[in-house]
Amino acid sequence: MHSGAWWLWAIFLAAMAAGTTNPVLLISIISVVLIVVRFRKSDAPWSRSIKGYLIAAGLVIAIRMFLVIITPDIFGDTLLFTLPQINLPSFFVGVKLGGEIKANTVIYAFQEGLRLATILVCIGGAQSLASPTRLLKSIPAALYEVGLSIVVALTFAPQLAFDAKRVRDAQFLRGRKTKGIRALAKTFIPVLEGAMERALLLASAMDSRGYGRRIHQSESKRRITNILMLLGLLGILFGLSGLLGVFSQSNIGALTLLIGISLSFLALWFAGKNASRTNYRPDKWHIPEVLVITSALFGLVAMRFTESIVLNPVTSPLTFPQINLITLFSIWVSILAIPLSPQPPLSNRPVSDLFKANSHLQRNAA
Amino acid sequence: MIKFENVTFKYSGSNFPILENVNLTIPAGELALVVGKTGSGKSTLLGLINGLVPSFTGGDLTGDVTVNGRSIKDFPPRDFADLVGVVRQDPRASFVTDLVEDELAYGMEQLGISQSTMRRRVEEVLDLLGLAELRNRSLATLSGGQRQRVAIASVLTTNPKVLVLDEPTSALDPSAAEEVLAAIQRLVHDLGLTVVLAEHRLERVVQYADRVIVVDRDAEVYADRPSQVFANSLLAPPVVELGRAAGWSPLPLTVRDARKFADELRNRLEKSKPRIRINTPTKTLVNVEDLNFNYGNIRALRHIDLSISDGEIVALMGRNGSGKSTLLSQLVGLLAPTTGSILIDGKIPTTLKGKSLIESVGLVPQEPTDLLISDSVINECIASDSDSGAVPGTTLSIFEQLTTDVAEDSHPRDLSEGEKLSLALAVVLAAKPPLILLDEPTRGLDYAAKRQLVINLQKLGKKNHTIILATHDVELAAEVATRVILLADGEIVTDGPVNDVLSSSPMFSPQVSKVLAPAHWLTVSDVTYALEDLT
Repeated sequence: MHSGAWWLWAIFLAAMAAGTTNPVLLISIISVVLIVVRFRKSDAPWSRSIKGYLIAAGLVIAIRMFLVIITPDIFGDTLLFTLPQINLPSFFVGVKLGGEIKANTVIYAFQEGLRLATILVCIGGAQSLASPTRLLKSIPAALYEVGLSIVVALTFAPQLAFDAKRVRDAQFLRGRKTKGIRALAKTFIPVLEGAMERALLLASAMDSRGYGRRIHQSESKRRITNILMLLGLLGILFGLSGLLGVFSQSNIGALTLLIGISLSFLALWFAGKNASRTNYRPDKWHIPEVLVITSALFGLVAMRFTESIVLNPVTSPLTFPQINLITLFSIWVSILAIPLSPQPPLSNRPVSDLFKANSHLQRNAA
Repeated sequence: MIKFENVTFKYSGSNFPILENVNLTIPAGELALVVGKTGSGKSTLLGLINGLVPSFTGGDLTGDVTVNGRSIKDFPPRDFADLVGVVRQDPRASFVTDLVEDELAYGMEQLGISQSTMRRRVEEVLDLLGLAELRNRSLATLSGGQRQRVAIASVLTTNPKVLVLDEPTSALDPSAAEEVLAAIQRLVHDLGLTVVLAEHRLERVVQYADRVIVVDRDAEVYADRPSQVFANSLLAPPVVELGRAAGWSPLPLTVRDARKFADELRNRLEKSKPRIRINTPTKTLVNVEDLNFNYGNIRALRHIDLSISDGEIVALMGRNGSGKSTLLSQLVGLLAPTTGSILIDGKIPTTLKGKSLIESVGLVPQEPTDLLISDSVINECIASDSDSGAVPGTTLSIFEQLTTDVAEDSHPRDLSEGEKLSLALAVVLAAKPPLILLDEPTRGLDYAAKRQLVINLQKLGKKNHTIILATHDVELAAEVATRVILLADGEIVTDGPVNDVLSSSPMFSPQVSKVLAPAHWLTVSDVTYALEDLT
C-alpha cells in the first residue's frame, strides 16, 4: 500500500470533520479511523502513535470546555449552574470570569472541541497506517536531502535517550547524584559529545558508501533548474497575495498561483531527472490505492450537498442534532478501506520473538 | 589489488608520523589480516584504503595508495564506493536507513543503479549471507551477529572488489563471531573478494588468513605468510604459543594442525595435572535467591540461585542477550529484581547509594570511559579520591600499579583501550569494594593489554576481592576464572569449576583445550608450568 494513499484517505476524512460540528457525524469519523487503524496498522513502532493522538484529542476537548466555562457567553436560554463571578478591570471589554453557565455554550464548546479532536485523530490515523520512511521515499528526488536528514534525525533520537541513560548509570556507579540540575548538566556534555562523534562516523560511512556522488551536471542544466524554481516560487508568492486581496482582481491571483505551482513542479521534476540517484522499490499506485481514496471521497461529496442545519446544529435554542442518513452512510463508506487494502506486512517482530530467532540462527550456525 | 607506495602519514597535531614509509601489495582474492597493538596505526592503515583517512581525519599524507589502479589522491572516498566496502566494529554507527532491505539498497541508490539490477543484487546478497529471513526486519531489532552480517551485505551490493573490516567480531559471542567469519570466508572463496581485516582476537581469525600485515610503531610495517609472522612474533594466538612451549615444528597455526601433535604432548603430560586455582574463601559474599527479572514481557532472568564466596573469580558467559549484563546490573542495584532477593555482604544492592554503594560493589561498564568524567588522568584520580573519601593519592597509586608509563596530564580519551580500562578499574578500586564486576573487559584490548588485565585480576583475587566478569572471551575466562557460569535465555545452564565447564563445552572451550581434549588443560601457562615441572 502506498503511504500517500493512506495520507490522502485520512486528509479527506479530516476535511469532512472540518466541515461539521455535528457530534454524530464527528464520532462516526473517529470510529471509522480507529477501526481502520485497528485492522490495517503494521507492527512497527510508529504504528503506536495513534495512542498519543487520542490523548491529545481528549485534552483539546477538555481545554476548550474549560475555557468556555471560565469565560462563559452571556447568550443562551438553558441555565446549568452559576459560578462566582470575578470582576475584571474595565479595559477587559467583553471578557468576564465565572458567572452564569448556560448549557448552550457548553454544548457549543464541546462540539467545537470535538471537531478539532476529530481532525487530530485523522492525522494520527495516517501516521499509524503509513510508514514515515516509506512516505519520504515518495518525495521528489530534488528534495532527497531534506528527507534523508529527517530519517537520520529519527534514528538519532532513540540513541540519544540511550546515551543519556548510560551516562546517568555511570554517574550512579561512581556514587554520585543522578538527580537534580547539576547532575543533568553533567550528563549533557557526554551525551552531546557522543552525538557529535556518531554524526561524524555516520558522515564518513555515508561518504564511503557513495553518498553525494553525482554524474557531473552541466552548468546550463543547473541554471535552468534554479531559474524555474525561482520563477515558480515568485508565482506562488504573487498568487497568494492575489488571493488574499492585494490585487483588485482575484482571478489574476488564482492564475499566477496556478502557474507558480506548475513551474515549481517542473523545476522539481527537472532536478529529479538530473539526479543520478535511483530509488529501490518505490511505492507504486495500483488499483487498491485508488479504491481506498475513492472510499473516502463519497463522504466528502455527500457533505457538500448536506443542509447546513445538519452540518452545524443550532445550539441556541438547544436542539438535538439532526441526522441525514445519506450523509452518515457516505461517511461510513470510508471503512471499506479495510477490505480494499492488503494486509500490512509484518516488518518488525516483537523483541520476545527476537530471542527465538537468534537461537534458531545459532542452531543453524552450529 | 591494493598498493601502498612509500606511504607516510602524520595526524595534524602529532609530532611523529603514525605510519612511516609503508610499502605493501595485497594481491586480488586474498584475505589479509592486519595485526598490531592498539594505537599502532591499524585503523589508519585501513582508513587509507578508500581515502577516509585523510579526507575525514585530516593529516599529512605522502606517497600513494591505489586500489585497482585508482589513487586516493585523485578521488574522494565516495568515488571508491563501487570498489571498496568498509565495515566497522560497531555497524550501528554506520546504518543510514531503518530496514534491512533498504539498508542493502542504499549504496546502490547512491550509485544510480537501475531498479531491476538492484532487485537482483539484493536477492543475491541476501542469500549469500543467509539474511533472507531478516529482509523486512527493523535494524534496531537485530542481534550482534545479524547486524554485522547486514553491514557486510549492505556494502557488498555495490559489487566492490575489496572489503575492509575493522574488528568485525570483537563485540560478538563465539558462535556469532563464527557465523560472521564463515560468511567472510565464503566471500573470499566464492566471489574472489579481496578482504583486509583487522582483529585483536587472533585465535578467531588466523586460520582464515592468507597473509598477515604487522603494524608496529617501532618497526617497519611488513606483510608475510602467517606461519612466518607468528614463528617469532610476540602477538600470537594461544595455539601458536602452545606449539612454541611444546617445541613443535612446523609451528601449528590452527587447532586442526595442532591436533596432529596432541597425542605426543598428552602423553608427556599424563602424570601432571593443571594447577588448581582457588583462593581460600572465608565467607559468602554474594547471595542470590530465586531471582526473576522481566523487561516488559520478556523474562530476562529466571530462577537464578547463586552463592559466591570472597576470592572467587567468576566468568559469566553465554550468547549476546542471554542476560549477563542484566545480572550485573542487578548486582550493582541499577535494576531491581521483579521477584527474589539479592544480598551482597548482607546488604540489598537497590538500597545502596552514593558512598555506601561504591564501598560495597563496583562495576566497570562495557565502555570504561563512561565511568570517567574528568579532563585528565590526574583530575580523574583526585575526583575519585574525594568520591570515595580515600586518602588523596590513593587512586593514582592504584592506577600506577595497574599500568605503566602514563602521563598524568593526558586526557582519558587519548589513552589506549587497556589504559582506559585500568583507569576505570582504579577508580572503582579506590573505594575498596569487596565485589568487583566487569562487563566485557577485553573488548578492544590487544594481547599485551589483555595479559596485563589477567595479571591484575589474579592479584585482586589473591587479595580476596570477589570478581564477576561477563565475557565472550573464552581465553580470558580460561586464564583467570576459578568458576564459570553459563547463562542461556536468562537461566543458569551450567555452574562449576573452570576446568570442568570450559573443557566440556564445544562453543566455550579455549584453543588449548580444543587441542588437548579430553584432558582438562585450559591455558598455555598451565602447560608450560607442568612441562617445566617435569624437567
